[in-house]
Amino acid sequence: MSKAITDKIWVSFYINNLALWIAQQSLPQFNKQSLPEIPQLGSPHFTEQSQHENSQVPLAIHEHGLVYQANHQALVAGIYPGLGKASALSRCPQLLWIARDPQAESQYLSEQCWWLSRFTPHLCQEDGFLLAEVSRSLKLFGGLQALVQQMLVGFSDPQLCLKIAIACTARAAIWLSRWQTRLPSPKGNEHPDFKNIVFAQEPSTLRQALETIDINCLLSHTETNRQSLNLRMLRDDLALCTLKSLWDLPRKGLRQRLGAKVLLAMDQALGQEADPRTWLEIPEPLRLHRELSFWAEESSHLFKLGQTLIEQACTQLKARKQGLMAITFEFHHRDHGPLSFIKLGMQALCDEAKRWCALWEEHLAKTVLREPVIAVSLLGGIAQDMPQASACLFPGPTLNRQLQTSLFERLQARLGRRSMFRIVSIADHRPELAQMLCEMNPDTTSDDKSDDKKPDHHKTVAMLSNNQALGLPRPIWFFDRPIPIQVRSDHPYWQGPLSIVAGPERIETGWWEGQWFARDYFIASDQDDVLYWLYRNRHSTLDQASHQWFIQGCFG
Amino acid sequence: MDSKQDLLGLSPQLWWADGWPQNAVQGSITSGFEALDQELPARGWPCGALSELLSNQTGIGELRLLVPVMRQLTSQQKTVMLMNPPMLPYGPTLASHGIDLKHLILLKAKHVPDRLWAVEQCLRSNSLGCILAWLPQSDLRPEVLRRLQLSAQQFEGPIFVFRPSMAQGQVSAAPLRVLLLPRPRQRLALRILKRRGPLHGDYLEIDLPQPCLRR
Repeated sequence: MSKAITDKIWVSFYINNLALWIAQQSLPQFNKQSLPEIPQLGSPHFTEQSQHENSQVPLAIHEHGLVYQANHQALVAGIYPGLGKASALSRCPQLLWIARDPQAESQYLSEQCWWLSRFTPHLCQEDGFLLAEVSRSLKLFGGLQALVQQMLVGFSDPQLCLKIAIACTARAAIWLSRWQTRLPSPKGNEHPDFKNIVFAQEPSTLRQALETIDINCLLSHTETNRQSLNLRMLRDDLALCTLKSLWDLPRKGLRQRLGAKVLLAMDQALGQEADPRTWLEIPEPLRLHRELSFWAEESSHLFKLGQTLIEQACTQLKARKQGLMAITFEFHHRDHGPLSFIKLGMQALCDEAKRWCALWEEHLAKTVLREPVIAVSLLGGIAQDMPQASACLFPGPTLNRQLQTSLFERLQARLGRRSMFRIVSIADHRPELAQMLCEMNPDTTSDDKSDDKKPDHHKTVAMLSNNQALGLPRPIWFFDRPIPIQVRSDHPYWQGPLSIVAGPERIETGWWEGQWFARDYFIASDQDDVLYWLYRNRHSTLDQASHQWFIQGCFG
Repeated sequence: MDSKQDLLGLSPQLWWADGWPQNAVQGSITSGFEALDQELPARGWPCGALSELLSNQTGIGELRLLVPVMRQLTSQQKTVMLMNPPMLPYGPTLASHGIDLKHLILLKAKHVPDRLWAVEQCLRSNSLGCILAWLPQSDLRPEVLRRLQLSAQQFEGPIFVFRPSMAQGQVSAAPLRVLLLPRPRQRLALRILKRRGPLHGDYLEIDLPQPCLRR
């Protein structure tokens, strides 16, 4: 046995009742218990009757017209895998007869792959088995047991009949997880989580662990019908049920009867042959789709579902070390009409499910569904590599800025994009144009970028201070637009007579932009000594409007 | 004398009404006006507590009163949030007062629940330097103020709430309430209606920061 094979630790996950579980997920009768947060009222599936009949329904999953898996009630009624439809229905007339959905199964398994990808990058999938090579992750996650325990969190549904095996070759792990149930576990494995787990990570115990495995495991390695018939014959007629009995047979004869691939698989299981595998790669565009088992009539019913989709998406993003700036949710409606969308946007790249969920909650609260929703998909925008910041022990300015960014995102999600502004001052003599309100966007938030502009900024301020040194001081409050005011007994009048305190300052500019700007600015004070910023238009033609006073700001 | 000491030992929140409390609960930030600092508990605007500024009119100098605070905080790269100001703050003037506009943010919320929600979110997140909030009188029922004051305790900076002066007779949970009155020649009169400390009867006059007017 070569060294390269033996120092690996393979964890294989096999879900015994996956087809059954998936069928149950899509059936409302079964689904009700596992999803208690979904309101049953108003949804036509949840009638009184089905609530009572719940979980006593015999259910069989069929493939090619034969029973593939059956639930407990069906097994009790005498239904077993391999039975035909006619005999199954005659034994149990109320049997639910549902076709197997291999696509949904592989989708579930690949979703679980994303979960496992946070523990190790070495993952592969082989018809119904998930394989993880964890020898490099042991130290980081605190040992094999702690690691397996953390991996189990992703398979939390108690209805799943999950079987796990740990072995030093991939093939052995696969076989053990599916075919082996009883094996003395090594010392100190009395944890309740581990009672379904087969441990055979020591090369020395491998042969012993594999000895009792049913030779049906070789069925998928036979190449021709003849070979599988031979295998059945060995098992049923010659009573060679276990792998050990095959090992004792002459290899030459086995090769003739069962084919070279079967022998290769047996050698791979024992680590005598190499077993090369290609690691799973994560597909680029992020797209998750989920059919609902009920009609969501209110937007709040979708919150939980969106949360799980976001969590899955973020797990994928974390595995790729990438982040997203925007996520779009698509709602498929019952009437198959046009889709509706919710778009979540961040100010910076983000891969944290918590922050996305906070946004999702805010957006969802504002949404009114036009029709009941039957399916939801999550579309990620362009994923980019996350900038890796170094962690710090004490909350410093970086942490504060992150908090601030997420605060602004939350505020903008509820109040709208045009609710937060930053003031930018511009070197211009015309008071209205000397400042600009900029909406908050990623460019103005990130400080690195605005630091580059710092010299400009200072120059602008310096110029303005020079301007002000020449003219009158500028007000601190500015009206949105100038308000025309009356003149009463030679005094401008605004909530009382105003008396001119300073001025005029003549501003005459802007002719190159076609916006002829000729004004005399004054500072006036009212009876309460509040100072205002007034102007009078100075046109060459003496028409009515020429001596109109305007009030434009005040010195608060 | 002994009994006096005994009484004070009962609770840290007890103090003699003719003096200042021995242990200030929260920090403070200097107002930038020596005379005003002398009259404020902990010698400055209280942090982590509401400060009410009451005036009967916008534009009497309430924003310039806070210019030193904003200048100080923005120079420390802390964000100052102006919520629903009654008019537009004029950037060039603020910049000429030394306020870094990069750290100044305007927030506009139309609806009443949104406004209060936004204030509360900002207080809870505790990532801003200072909040200046203009809330209409109709929003500020006593229970709303109490709720804001409770959220404010998680906040590390000062929070200023601007209210009309007719609210001075109403109950308020804010630990500091100051009435502002206009005075000629760029001055502002303050009367402290409520503070954690002895009663303040007189008007206090301060010079507002402003380049002098040339006549």
